[in-house]
Amino acid sequence: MEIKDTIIIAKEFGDTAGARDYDDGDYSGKEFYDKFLLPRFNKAVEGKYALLIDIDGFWGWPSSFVSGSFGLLSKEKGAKIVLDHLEFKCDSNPMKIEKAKYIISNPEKK
Amino acid sequence: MKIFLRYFLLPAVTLLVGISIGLVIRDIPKFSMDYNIKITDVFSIILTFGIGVFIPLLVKKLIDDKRTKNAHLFEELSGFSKMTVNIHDYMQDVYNNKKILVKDKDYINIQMDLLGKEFNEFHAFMMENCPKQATDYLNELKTCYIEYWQISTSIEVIGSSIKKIDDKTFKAICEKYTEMNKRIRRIKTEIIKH
Repeated sequence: MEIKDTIIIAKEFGDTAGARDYDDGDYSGKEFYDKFLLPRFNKAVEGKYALLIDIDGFWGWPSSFVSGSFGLLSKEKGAKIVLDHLEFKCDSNPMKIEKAKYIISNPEKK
Repeated sequence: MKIFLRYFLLPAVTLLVGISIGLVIRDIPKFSMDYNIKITDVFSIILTFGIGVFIPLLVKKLIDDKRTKNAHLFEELSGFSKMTVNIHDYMQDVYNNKKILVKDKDYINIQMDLLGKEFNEFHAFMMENCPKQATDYLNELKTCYIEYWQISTSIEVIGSSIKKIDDKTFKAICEKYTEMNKRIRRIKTEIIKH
């Protein structure tokens, strides 16, 4: 699937990951989900293209943030469609991509 | 007396014994000497000598190479193990203190991030160099590591309302840690076996 949109998290959202929900402080996974991930993902699905998530330069990658954003998206939309429409880029630490994909594939687990 | 024995009598006796053996061999018809040497015989001798020297050297080199490679693999495993031990010890201290501060949460978050980078390099190196029999365990180790990261940076540990790591969460962290170590030991066993 062709990539037509990119979210550079460190540039558009913030350079440090918070925790899961709004009550956990700034830059939470839920905030990222509401403000960036969900709207852009919906557009990608409608436009039948892939959305690239650029994680480079984003400090920290706690599971609470990932489950609060990508895990929640997977719960809402289903793992397959999320994996079909999301691409990841993280040259500095490719394990972050593996972790995100693991959470998307297993969104129910903590 | 010793000097006489060593420098005169012993060489004289050796010489006499040598001459006697030579005479006996010469007079026995079974031992006939052909003083004409073919050029192929020369090559044959050189080849035999070469094989005699080359094979043990080759075997020694192969053994040394394998030993060196295994030492590198063990070193990689130990390096990764050491990092996990450090993080786990820190978490254990936080749990024992029954108090988790913001700086502890940040530290855990940062260390888990660094461990992820390290794991990525470590996993790629091991997949390339480990015996094929260890591949399954390496993939299991990756899953165990991700599950360890998942529970260690979960909302139950780094959530803003969390003031201490509860027993249930710490037990889950320890279980994942043990699973990781179990896989590391299995990989070591496979390296030793092959």
